[in-house]
Formats: sequence, C-alpha cells, structure tokens
Amino acid sequence: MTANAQENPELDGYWKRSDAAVARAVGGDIFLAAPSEGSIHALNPMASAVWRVLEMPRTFREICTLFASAFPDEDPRQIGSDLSELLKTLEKNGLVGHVGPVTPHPDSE
Amino acid sequence: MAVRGSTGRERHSGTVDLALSAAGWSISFIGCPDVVTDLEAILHGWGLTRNAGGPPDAAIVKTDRGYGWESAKRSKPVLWDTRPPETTMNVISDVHDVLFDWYLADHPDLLCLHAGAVDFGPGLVCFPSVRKAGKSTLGVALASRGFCSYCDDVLPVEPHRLVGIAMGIAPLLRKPLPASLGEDLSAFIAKHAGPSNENRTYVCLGAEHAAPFGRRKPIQALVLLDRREAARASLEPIAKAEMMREVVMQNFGARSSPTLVLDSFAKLIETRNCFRMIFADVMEAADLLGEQFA
Repeated sequence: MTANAQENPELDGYWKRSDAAVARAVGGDIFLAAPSEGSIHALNPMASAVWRVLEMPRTFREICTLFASAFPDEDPRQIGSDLSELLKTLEKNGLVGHVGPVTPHPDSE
Repeated sequence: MAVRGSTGRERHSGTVDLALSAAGWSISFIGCPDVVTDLEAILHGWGLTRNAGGPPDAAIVKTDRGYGWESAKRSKPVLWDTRPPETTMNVISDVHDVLFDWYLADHPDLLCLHAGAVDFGPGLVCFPSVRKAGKSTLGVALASRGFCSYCDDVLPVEPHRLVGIAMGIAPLLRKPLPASLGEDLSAFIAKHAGPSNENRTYVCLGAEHAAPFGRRKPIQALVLLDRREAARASLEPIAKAEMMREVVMQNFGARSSPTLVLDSFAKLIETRNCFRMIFADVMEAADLLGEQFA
C-alpha cells in the first residue's frame, strides 16, 4: 500500500471524529455540521464509510486495511491514495482530527 | 427645515420617506419617486406609508451618475459602491434583495430556504431552487389556478415548527416569457404585470393571489422540479438523501448555527413528503400539483 504513514508523516497517529462535528443520517446518507467552520457537508459514499469506521479512533493503516478487505478488486495503492486525500480534506474542514504520531508498539511491526 | 435622520443626510424637497411599518423600517428616496411607486407595486402586506416620520434606515439618492445608497447601520446591496445601478428596475430589484438581508439580520433564529413556496390549503409546498427549472413561473401558474403564492425565491423558515413565512414580494419572471405558456397564463401575467425591463418582469399578484408579508404556514411537502423539453407532468417520490442534499446546498444567509440548520433540515426532510416533478407544460404541472396537494 503506497500512501502509508511511513511515507507520509501527515497521516501518522490515530484518526478520530472531531468532537465538534455533528452528524445526522438522512435517507442513509450522512450529513455533518462543523460549527467551528460554520459549514454543513454532505458526505459521498466513501467519506460516509470513513466516518462510520471512525466510530473508534484508528490508524491510517487500519483504515486502509478495512477498505482493502471491503473492496478486494480495487488496487490497494489507489485505495490508500484516495483515503489519504479524503482524510486530509475532512481534517481541513474540521470534521476529523488525528492524534499522534504515536510511537509504534515494538511488537506491531 | 433640514432634518437629519440616522443616515446623517439632510431632508430635501423631492424626498419620499417610505415606512415599511410591518418590519419597522424606513427608507428615504431622494429624487426618485418612480422607485417608490414601483416598490409600492411589488411589496404586499408591508404596511407601506409615505412620510410617516422617524429616522430612515437607509437613503437612496438619484444623482447624475446613477443611484447612491447611504446607510449608517443597515447592510447595502453588494456592488453599489463599485457599480451603482442606473435604472429604476435595477434599484427595486436590489432593494428587494436587501429586504431579505435586513429581515434575516433582524431574525437570526430563522432558516433560509432557497425555494419557491405555494399554499395549497393544508400547508406550503416548497420548490427548492434548481437553476432554470421555472419555479417562479410555476408559482404564478399556481396563483392563476387559485392557490396562494408565498414566495418565488426565498422562504424564511421557523426551525422548530417548520413554518414558512411569506415575504410579500412579487414574483420576478425572466423575459422573454416562453411562448409555450398558453393563452390563459399569458393573459394572467399581462393582467398582473408590474415593473419590468427587457430582461425581467415582476408579477404583482396582490391580496387575491399572494400571502402578505409575515403570514405563516406549516410546510407540508417539498417538490424538486425537473423541467424538460417534452414530458407528461408526473410526480414521483424522491430519495430523502437527494432532497436533503438539494436543500442543504441551497441554504444560505442563515445566521443560525450549522447544527441547528442541519437538525432542522433533517427533521423537515424526514417528516415531509418529498417528490420530483417532471414536466414540460407549466399549466399541466400546476394542475397535477393541485390534484396532489390541495
């Protein structure tokens, strides 16, 4: 997987939903309000899926692994690249944040 | 005697102070009585009174170079500083727009739905704005069929009760009007024609066909318009998510918190019937809507 945390330090650490973001599901789609930004966002299917997996904080690697499992026919490198771009966009809009970088556990590699 | 109002301008002969009593505002018009006459034609239920006294919220001045806007506290139309209007029609359409701004500034708790709205009796049916879908023309067509127009472009909404508020401003149609309108609707528009220029015309519906400024009514349904070159008029349920996207995209100007806007629109979409209407003939569409919602 290409867009990993080692290659892109901006992705390091645990990604989580912003505490300030407010989500509402309407007809199966997710809409987010970011009060600090004064904006409302309609999430596309991929962003909605990311929002759902971020019900608990996850590393970029974990998110990529989940998506690769869900879409086995897709190129994992493309999935990583798309997720990288998406997470940065969501972060820029105050919808997700990440804490870290977190020092990897010695047994995790 | 010269009198200074909140604009700081001395009162001159040729000045008309127009009170919009229902909103508690007043505007001074200096050297442009035709603008006052046209505003009186397009505003309905505003409690308009000439020269009622009191300091004006703004002053509009006609000069050799066009029109100027003076206002100490209230917002002014965008572009007046850099490109002031030169015609009466442009002035009244800019005043029309700024009245929305002032109203929303005075009522920051209200949502702002970019939509036309018509009262069918049980409640309002809203037509969220879709570019060139013909919501203004459809609203006039529905008025010609006896339904009450609430607005053709902007509907303030009480977020907790989901009640729409009429702004009492005449619909504004693009010109030239389509030849396909038919004789009855063309005659209706001609009968109620208001201020116009080569590009646009107001349709002054008056008390018989339009709700006055400030009247309130619950919203009963939302209909997304899909106008085509040729199609029988039809109504079909639309996915709630699609309507929500349209409504959220069209929300503007609201000073409410994004969370309140999101919650209110989510409640609106989830609790009201949502449709798409495909149509080509506007009167056929009006009749179908009447059958469905009246």
